[in-house]
Amino acid sequence: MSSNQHPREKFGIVAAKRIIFDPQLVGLRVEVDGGAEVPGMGGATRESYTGVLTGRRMEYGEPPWPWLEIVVEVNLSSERQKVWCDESFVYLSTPGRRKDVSRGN
Amino acid sequence: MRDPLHTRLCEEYGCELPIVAFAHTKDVVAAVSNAGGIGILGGAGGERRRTQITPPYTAEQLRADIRWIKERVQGKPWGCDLVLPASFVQGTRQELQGMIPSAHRDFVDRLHREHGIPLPSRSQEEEEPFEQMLESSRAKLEVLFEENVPIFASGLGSPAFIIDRARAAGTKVWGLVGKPRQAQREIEAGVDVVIAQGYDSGGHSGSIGTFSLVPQVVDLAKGTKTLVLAAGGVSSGKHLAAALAMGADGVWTGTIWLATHESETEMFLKQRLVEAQSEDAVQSRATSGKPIRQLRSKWSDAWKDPNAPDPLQMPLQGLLTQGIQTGIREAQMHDWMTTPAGQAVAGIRALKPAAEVVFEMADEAQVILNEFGAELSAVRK
Repeated sequence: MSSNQHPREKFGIVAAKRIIFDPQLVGLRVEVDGGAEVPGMGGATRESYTGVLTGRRMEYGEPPWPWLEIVVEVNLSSERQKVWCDESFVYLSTPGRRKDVSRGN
Repeated sequence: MRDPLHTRLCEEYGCELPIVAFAHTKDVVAAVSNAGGIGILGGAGGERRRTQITPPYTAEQLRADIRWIKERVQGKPWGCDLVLPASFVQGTRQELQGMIPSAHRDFVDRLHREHGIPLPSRSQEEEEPFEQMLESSRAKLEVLFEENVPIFASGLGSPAFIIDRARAAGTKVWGLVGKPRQAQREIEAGVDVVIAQGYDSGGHSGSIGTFSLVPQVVDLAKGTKTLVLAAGGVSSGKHLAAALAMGADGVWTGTIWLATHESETEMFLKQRLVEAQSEDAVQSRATSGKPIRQLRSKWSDAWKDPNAPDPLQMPLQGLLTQGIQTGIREAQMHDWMTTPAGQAVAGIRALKPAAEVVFEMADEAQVILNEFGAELSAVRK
């Protein structure tokens, strides 16, 4: 199998992905409760981030699975790190304005 | 007088006892459901994945295990847990590898040399790209719905996006949370059960203790249709009684099933589980970069050594250690292997059949709750 293959082809990805840009989200400071499975452990780990929304929002598959892109403040290196975060666990961190980003209220 | 163990969970799901067992072994799941509780199968693959080199657990393997369980539980309640991702760090494997400091690479090389840990015999598997991770999760979800699995428990990420699809398939949706704000989001989304998992638990425990978390989540769920299970540090009837006293509708348990006869957990790990005290269930960042509560091992000790560097952040630590972890498994270096385990491990004193664990927990809770009821009645007279 060629290493130049697109992941969609290589892994048999079939679901549609839609990325939209929402300028109203840009620059909002957020806290995120993230995490993922840990290969080989048969388990997962939680991962918290604080950062700033870039305005990019992804909907994956049907029904849409919504994700927001953030730039994290505490970086893995000197470079700024971008992370996709499940929209359900993204919280506005502006004092007094902790509200539900995903529902726009 | 009402049976205190017959909670809303029992009424709504038809189980006899408010005891939920999370296990990666299908035999444990079937045994617990047949004993009156609710078994939940971990959809990430069997316990052997922690100690053997195994291929990824596919959606079709999950389907085969689901059918196996369905045949054995004959309509009793049971379910399946999937670890939905909640975040994903962008960047190619090459870019991330470039961020690993040389001091960390040197330390891993030293572990290989000084402890005779062989280099892995195979090249490391490419991490799943983000889209593939989402695709795998959705494929497994579809299997659950196609097979009419009664309960889908989301072990990490939010199940909010899939609730309507699950309802259409007749599947109840549960969500495991570690913070009140996560519980609030899931209750608003309409999950059927929230599992409030405290710091004591094995694996990806949060930072809030079970006794602090559960009452807060119970308050959040008050007046809604969402039930609450207490998780983290639960291994006995005393814990079950305490959970019900805090207002939970039952308990979610994990570690205690690793040491049952039916569990696929390797015998050397079962032996360590029997011998372990609570302090042997350590939180270590050595494998992934984020804390995972697990049985103490030479691996977790090596990274706590004063000469060891601090583990890197996720996902760099995983990239750094993937090769040496493979070497440890290939050489079957048992002292260096571990399993996620919670502080409730202290309650494991012997290997037992899963049904016996269920009955003992229920019997002990029943006695405690009856005594409390009798004493309360006496005081009121």
